[in-house]
Amino acid sequence: MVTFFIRRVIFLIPVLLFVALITFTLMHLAPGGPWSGERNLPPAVERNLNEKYGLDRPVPEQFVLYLSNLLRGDLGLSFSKPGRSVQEVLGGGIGVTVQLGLIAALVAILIGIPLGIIAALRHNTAVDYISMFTAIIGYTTPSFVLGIFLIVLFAVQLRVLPPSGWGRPASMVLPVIALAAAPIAILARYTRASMLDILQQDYVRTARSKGLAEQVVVLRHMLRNALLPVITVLGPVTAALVTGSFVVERMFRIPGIGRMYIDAIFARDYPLIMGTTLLYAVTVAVFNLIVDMLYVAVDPRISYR
Amino acid sequence: MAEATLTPTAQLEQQRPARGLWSDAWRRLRQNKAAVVGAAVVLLLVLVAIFADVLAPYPYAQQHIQDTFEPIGSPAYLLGTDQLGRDLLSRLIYGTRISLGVAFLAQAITLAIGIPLGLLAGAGSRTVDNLIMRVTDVIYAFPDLLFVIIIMAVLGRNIVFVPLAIGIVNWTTIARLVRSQVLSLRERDFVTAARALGVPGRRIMLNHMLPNALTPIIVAVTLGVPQFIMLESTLSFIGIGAPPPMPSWGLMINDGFNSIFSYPHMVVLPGLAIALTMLSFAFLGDGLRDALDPRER
Repeated sequence: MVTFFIRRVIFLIPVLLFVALITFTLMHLAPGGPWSGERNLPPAVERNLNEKYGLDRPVPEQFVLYLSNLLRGDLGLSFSKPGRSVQEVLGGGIGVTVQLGLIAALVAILIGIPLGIIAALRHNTAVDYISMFTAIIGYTTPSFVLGIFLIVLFAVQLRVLPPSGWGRPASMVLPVIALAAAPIAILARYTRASMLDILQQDYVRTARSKGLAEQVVVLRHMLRNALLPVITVLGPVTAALVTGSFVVERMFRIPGIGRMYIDAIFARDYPLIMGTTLLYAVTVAVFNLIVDMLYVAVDPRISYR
Repeated sequence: MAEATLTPTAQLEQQRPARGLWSDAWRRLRQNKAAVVGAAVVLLLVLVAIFADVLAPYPYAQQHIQDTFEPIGSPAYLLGTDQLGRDLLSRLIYGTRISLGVAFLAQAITLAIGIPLGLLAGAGSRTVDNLIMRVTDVIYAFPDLLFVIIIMAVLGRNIVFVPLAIGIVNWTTIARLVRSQVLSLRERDFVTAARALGVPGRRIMLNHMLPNALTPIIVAVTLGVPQFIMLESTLSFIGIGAPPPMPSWGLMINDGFNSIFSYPHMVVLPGLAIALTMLSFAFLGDGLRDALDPRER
């Protein structure tokens, strides 16, 4: 277990290095530069700017420089927000993004898993069909399309919730629903399938036949075993949350790092693009690692060597 | 008396006529109502995409400056017009072509890269396998939307690059799938038999293994299409996919977003188009998976 963990962590280093290399190369291949937005800078000014940010050096040298700075925890200076470091810029948005992601994840778990359990217990009834139909709609509707419907319904027609912003509880409702819908659906479908599998197990029949209350059978015998495979979908759930956050933050004008990323792409803010990409890659990698660890910790039948 | 002479297997065959994998699957698919509805809508969308020129009342970019923001049901424009007086129905119809075209093309690119590399990884030497799998690991570590956005920034805002960017990022799923199929098929008796008969490795791969790996690939393709439709519309909504005046559904939502309070139909219509298309593909994909592989229910 410990060696497996260490091996996985060590394996992450080359992967992240390649992510950094690919992003760096692609960025510098992209047409236009960070200063092409500001109209007709005098060549001398542009030269000075390039010199200040090290852009006058060969790209491979810039990459090595970036990596050595990165190892010292320095992500560089943002181009589009003069005088501010990438750490400051990311620090200003990450709180909001994490808040949005965590609330959505919590909502997804609290709704998705019970929905799956109920659907499985009422297998092939109207309850099952309705919840699975809702789940497939939640799963297939992109978060920005759902966001549109939510804004039109609750902000435009009913005028009960604000269409944008972040901070007040009321302004959080719509973006959280838009972001949580896909994870809810994924969790509900998976929990249901897993529960249906458990329903047919011998030990469940044994528990029932010895006269245990249905509640005890469901909570003690079924739920624990049914939730095991659900842990594996936490990976896709995290991915859905990360991808969704870009669009949801943009649509609801939420000042998180997802919205910043897209602005940084347009502004060719190389250090900010690098910092955000690496941050997301590390997050996804760490989550996948946690999921694998959790899986081993929870299920004694599995062991990694 | 004739019955008594039949062998037990022949008797079984009499009760249940011999059917191939495909006709069995087809029969199961037809019994699945959601899948049939999904397939019908998908077929309809494909037809709309092909015959967009005939079906659309106006060219998609034609502006009617005197008729901007017409509501749904106005006499000349069935579904109204946008901020430039362009007919929304026509734009939705042409948008089908963009959505499906990009998704199918992207899928073709993922197959063109993923199948050969998957075969190579599964049947090739250990070094080749390791190399290809490490590449998929790196691509897997990127959140896919992030990667597609960066590639689009390099290539530029042009609709023909969208399927390319999506394909470059998403071939890993197919490659991993094909690889795992090859690894499990490699140990099967019919492959051993073919090898014993002296069939060359390339032919074993293409004639014996690939057809057997086809079922999961078909399912992955059907479930991949809606995912790519979503990616295209997301990119266009963000403003780095289809350039104006192209009637991409995502771009139409972006167009209407600023006037969402006054003219919500401008965003609701393309939103419904995206949701309906993705739902149909998901129904069809789920149905195909159940039909082709009844064990996975």
